[in-house]
Amino acid sequence: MEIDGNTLIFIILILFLFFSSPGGNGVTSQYEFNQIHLFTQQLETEYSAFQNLTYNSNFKNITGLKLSYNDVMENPLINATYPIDSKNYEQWYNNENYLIMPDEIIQTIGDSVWNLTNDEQKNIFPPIITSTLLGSINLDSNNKYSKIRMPLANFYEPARDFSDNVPPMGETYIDDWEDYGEIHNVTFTKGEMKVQFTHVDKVHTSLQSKKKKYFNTQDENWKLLNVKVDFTDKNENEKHSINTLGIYDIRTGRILAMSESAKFHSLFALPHYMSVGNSRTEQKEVFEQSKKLIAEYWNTSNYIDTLTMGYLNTMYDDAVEKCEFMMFFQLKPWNQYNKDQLKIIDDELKWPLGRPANLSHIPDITVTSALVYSPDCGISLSTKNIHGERYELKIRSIRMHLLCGIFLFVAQIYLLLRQMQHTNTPSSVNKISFYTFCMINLVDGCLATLYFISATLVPELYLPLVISAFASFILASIFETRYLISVYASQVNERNVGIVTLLTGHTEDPETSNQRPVVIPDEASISSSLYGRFAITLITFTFLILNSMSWPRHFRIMFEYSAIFILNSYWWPQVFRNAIKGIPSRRERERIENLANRRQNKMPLLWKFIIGTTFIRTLPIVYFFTYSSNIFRHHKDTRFVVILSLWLLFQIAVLYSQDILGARWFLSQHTIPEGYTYFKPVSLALLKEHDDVNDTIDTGNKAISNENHPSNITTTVDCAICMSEVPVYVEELPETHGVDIHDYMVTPCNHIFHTLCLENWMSYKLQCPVCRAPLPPC
Amino acid sequence: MSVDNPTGLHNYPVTKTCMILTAVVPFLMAVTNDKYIFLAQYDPFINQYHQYYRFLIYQFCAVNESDVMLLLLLWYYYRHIERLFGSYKYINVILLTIIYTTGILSLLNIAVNILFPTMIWNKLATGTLPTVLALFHFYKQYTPQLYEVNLSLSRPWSGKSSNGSFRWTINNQVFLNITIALLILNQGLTGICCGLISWIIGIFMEKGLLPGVDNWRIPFLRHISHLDTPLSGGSHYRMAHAQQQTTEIDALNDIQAGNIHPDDEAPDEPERSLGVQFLDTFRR
Repeated sequence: MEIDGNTLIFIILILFLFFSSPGGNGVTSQYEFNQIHLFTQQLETEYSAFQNLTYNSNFKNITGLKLSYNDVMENPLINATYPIDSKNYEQWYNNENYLIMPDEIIQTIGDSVWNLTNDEQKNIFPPIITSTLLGSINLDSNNKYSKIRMPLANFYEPARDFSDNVPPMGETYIDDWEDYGEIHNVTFTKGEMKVQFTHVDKVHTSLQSKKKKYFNTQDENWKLLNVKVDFTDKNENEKHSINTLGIYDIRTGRILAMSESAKFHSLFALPHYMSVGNSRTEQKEVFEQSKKLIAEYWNTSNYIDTLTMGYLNTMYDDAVEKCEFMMFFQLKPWNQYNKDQLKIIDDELKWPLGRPANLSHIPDITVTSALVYSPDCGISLSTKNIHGERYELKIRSIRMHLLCGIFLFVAQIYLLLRQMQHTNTPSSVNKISFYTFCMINLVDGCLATLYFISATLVPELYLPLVISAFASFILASIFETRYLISVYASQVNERNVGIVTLLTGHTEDPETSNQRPVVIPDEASISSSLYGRFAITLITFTFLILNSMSWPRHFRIMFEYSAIFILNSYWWPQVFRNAIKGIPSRRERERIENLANRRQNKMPLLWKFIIGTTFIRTLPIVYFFTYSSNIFRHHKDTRFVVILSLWLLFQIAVLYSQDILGARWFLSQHTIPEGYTYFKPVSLALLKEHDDVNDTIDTGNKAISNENHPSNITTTVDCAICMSEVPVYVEELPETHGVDIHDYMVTPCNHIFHTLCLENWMSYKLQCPVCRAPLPPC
Repeated sequence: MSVDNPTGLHNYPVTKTCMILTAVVPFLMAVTNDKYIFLAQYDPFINQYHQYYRFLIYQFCAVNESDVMLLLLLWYYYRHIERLFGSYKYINVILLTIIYTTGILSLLNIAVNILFPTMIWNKLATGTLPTVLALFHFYKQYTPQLYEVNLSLSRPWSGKSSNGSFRWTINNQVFLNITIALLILNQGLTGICCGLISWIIGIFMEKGLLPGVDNWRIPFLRHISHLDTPLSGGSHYRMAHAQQQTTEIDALNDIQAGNIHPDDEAPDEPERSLGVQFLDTFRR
């Protein structure tokens, strides 16, 4: 391509658009600058209020914490502007006069959630709990408790038009909005819960910094966590997700996380709420230590300076769309270990060296009980015994599964190579069904793309994932597509022929068949078009699969089941193809074994390949559908697997019956018109059509007249392949009836060749060597 | 001057196996994330965890990828030894070297650590570094130098002692020497220490202080046809004689396969004396 000035300018423009995304904090306008400025100011005042906070004093002007439950009980429409008259800011007790939860909830937390007392340090909790826990969640009540009014500052709102430079001041209450809807409620009574804990040990110290810095000086007792909680109803119609920070007290196994948004700055509330359920003396210690943790996080990460527009917008969206949730988790102690053993286990998981850690017996991270309470929506939920294995262990087991998968791919490549060796001539490839391999190829190609995508998402598993992707990619795009190309090339003659014609093997009339373009595309053009098709279907299907993962459960399962079922019907096209080709029964094949064309009558697919491929492709499905703790947490459905296996067995049984009884046994005799037969007597008229044949007939006649020996009487034509004479059986000449009609072949276009010559030719190309007319395979 | 061995690994089954193992084992171990079992350290693996197996297997996988590359290169250089010894003797020597180096290094390390508990020597080198260093002696011993080059640099450093120019003599084995140096430097003090001990082990083996090179043979491999060359004997005479035999057999095989006309391959020069034959082994 020649690059002139215009193209260059265009490229520069495109590159400029690419690279000119707002850097740093993402501010792109005066309005946003002011928004960030106001946000920073708000947080700074709140942080200074937080610094002055003691275990025995109340929150002052901190967003979302200005009212207590009791304030709202007394006056449901109270204005939350600080300071509120008659509110006691100088004292703190863990009851509803100070907290934003009712006494009943506080009682429940103390009695049945955070109920493990750890007086003599008897219980030992795992210090590192990176994991994904799964379980069920129950709704306790969604209308019993009063809703805390949480004002939302107006400056969070996005600009209304371009000339808008100053964000609006003041506050608003979302409860007063008109379209304030059901999203602020939990309507199901029983649902599924997923909790993901990740440790936050290191933080970036500025927006540009690449390096992260440790901040926690109380690392042996306190951990800062990133907590992601999702809970949905069984059918995934209603989904609540929270992504926030939490703190973990290793000595007591208590985890507290509160959602964060523009109407609830929960980070500042963590110290007070962490001490809920503690005695007065413990309260002080817990408060001060957790406050120190928060302050260290705040200062090391330069919280104020690293704020971005994206964060501000998320805060605003969360405030408008979601309820705030406070989550209290109680971990199950790992009392079977002492601290040294726990350290060895953690080290080994983090940096495997072969320490004596016995990783196969590590228990799951378990939350024995948890309470989720929403102060602004008045919802209370609870859960028991949610559990999941450590992230590193999970990665290990996924790695093992991936290695098994690679082994399956290698086995499939080996089988395919054997199959390709088995059908190495166009004539035998012709009997293979194109669509059977299309289906197989589609699945392998999709796996390759999915592996590639996940390799970028899970850096821990990069190597095995890339190797899996590579193996499946080789299988799909090199071996299978190669095979597809040769199948397609051998069948290109039949592309515009009707099924009935194919079934009979007749080319209808010589005239009509001559009208068909005889230009057969060469292999290069076939391969380029097939590769194009392969890529497009692959991308479409992969997108469909990725997209389907976000569909509601009902649709997703329907899609999954039907896709699996359809893609596992891959032997049907081959059954169909066999019937078209009319492969004779095994006994018949054995009978004609001594003939030269024995090779062309074998079954197109090796049994080794059929059984092996079915096994390789069903094994993963069986694993995911029957083994309930499989790596993808796929639900268990043994019935589907049984049906699917029977379906596959049925297909194989039909293929086997075709092998034994002949490919057309299920079609009644008279539905199949007689196929084209190459072995037939020749009429004199036909011979006369050929110019060069006349001479031969003459010489034949001469031979008759010269030698009056009946056995030597022959009529011959020239075989265009070996250029020697072919004796033919002419109906009208009884002298020639000593010739075996199996010694020569007559093509539909009335050319005559030696049987051996034409059969050898037909294993390379199904075209008449003389006139290029398509030949029906015999 | 035709000094090179035929390139490629055709007819070098042992070298080929060694190279494949050197590359494939680390790769498989990386995929399964189990490379760490080849780390051999006295503390903590032996004295705390009692994982004695580490001192037996540490030679089978190089933990660093750069070591893998260097070892591959070195095994390729060492194909001269296979050509000289024959595959059967070569594999015996390799196995013997592995056994001696593994055993002696492990026992020495344990002994040193028991005698001097201050941890002066904690780690063993990973990969076949000890074996390669022991074979290095064999290589030097049996491969004559083909040529040497004098590099003379005038005033390399403009110091006061600039009366003479700096002279450096290198020979055709300089690349091998550099690779060996890189290999032992690549693992730091551990590599240097283990490498030197292994080199000494190689010398002892060749001199007969550590017995077995001449007469120890693995029994079950004898019947594997392509290793069963007559080259497995020790004496130079038999070696040279056999070399000629094998080339003749190879030539015959080729003729039978119809690849080469007999005239192309059969030597039309007069019979050479034994000394010439021996030297020719390295010349052509």
